[in-house]
Amino acid sequence: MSATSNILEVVKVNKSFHDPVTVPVLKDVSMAVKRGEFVSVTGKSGCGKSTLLYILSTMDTDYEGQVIIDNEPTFGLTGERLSQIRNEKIGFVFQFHYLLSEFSVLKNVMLPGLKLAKRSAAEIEARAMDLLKDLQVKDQALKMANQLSGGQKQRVAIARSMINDPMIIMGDEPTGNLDKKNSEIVFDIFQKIASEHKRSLLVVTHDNDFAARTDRTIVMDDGRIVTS
Amino acid sequence: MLGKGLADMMEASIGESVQVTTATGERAMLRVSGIFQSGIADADKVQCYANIKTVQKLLARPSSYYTDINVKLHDLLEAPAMGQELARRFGVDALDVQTANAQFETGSDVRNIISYAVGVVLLIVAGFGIYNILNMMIYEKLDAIAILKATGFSGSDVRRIFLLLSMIIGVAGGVSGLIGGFTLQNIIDNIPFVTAALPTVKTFPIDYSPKYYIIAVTFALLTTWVAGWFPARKASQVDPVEIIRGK
Repeated sequence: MSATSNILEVVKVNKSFHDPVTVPVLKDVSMAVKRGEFVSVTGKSGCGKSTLLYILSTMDTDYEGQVIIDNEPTFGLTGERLSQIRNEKIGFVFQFHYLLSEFSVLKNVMLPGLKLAKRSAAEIEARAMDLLKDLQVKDQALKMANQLSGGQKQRVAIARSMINDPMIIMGDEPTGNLDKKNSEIVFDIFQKIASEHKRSLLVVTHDNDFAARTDRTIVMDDGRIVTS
Repeated sequence: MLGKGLADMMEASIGESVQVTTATGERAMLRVSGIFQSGIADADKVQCYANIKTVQKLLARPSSYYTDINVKLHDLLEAPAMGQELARRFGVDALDVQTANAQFETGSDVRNIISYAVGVVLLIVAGFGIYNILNMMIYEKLDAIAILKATGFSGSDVRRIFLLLSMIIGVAGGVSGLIGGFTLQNIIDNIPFVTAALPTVKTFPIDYSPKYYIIAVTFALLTTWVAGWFPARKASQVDPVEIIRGK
């Protein structure tokens, strides 16, 4: 167990866009996410909430400050190491599902697990099937990814984000493309991940109903955290 | 020993005797012990060989009389060096096979240069084709590259995928090229090629030497590797944030 119960810690992160003129997007942002906590980030569009998420995801490295994931400071790490952290400790769910249409649903879910290669292919397959069963898309496992409906695809994407049992799952408008009913299903799944599996969730959303039902809501405005 | 053309003209066969006249007018009866065919009709019509002792006697020269000594080497490339060495040590004139056949060598060198130039040009064209296809494919697969990177595949993993793809094209192309080349060689090998000057050659002469196959495959793989490397590098540098946020 880690020294603190913070899975994710952000210390004084500043970021500016430089093209065409320098515009500060994030100003001295500091926050933390605890183990098993379901946190949402809301704010007007352009307030920097997505930018913050991509810095936390380690995919965007052009910032000042420090991001600590599972007690490991990530600023200045090599791309190779950041990939490993993403693979092992972070799961992603985006607005768009990003499933690979060349592969079956099952293979899509297994892919990050095969990359991590901590378990055998057979174990990863069994775990993928369990996840698909939990998310009620087990019967679709052998279909190609592009044969599924939007809600099903998003559930498969969630299964993919969980295959390596990450510390934290990050979502960028995960329900943005879904209707009310499917949004509801996705929310329930997220809540179950937080309460039963003790995984942290950090979800950027502009859906206030969705945000209101999470453990904690961080509101951002013009690059600063207003309430947390 | 008589050349085949000469023997045919004289209707001489093995065991019979022929009369030999030297340039100085000496005559001798010699028995035909064999008939040879060098493969070049003009040479076979005029050449004949006899034991060195017999010839020395025939020409009324001492047994130390030699006009030419032909030395055949296992490795032709050693000839110039060895020629110089022999000339220096024994004070004789030495002519190596490369100098003697310089004209022929130049001709075949020029032909080699032309065929390699055509080959290289074709490989460059094919290389650009592969480069273009892979480039287009990367644009098509930006989403896939972005999600692979987001889920923990590194830039070098992505590069490896695209390099592997181009190497698969290279290996498939190289192998089918080899099979095609071998088939063509077989067909050409069976096309009749009859000429009076070379009586032993019945079909087009074909060199099946593995050397050429190795050269062909090496260059095919090298071309596809280079053609794949640049698009692969580009794919490895794709920024997933730009793609995912752009939606």
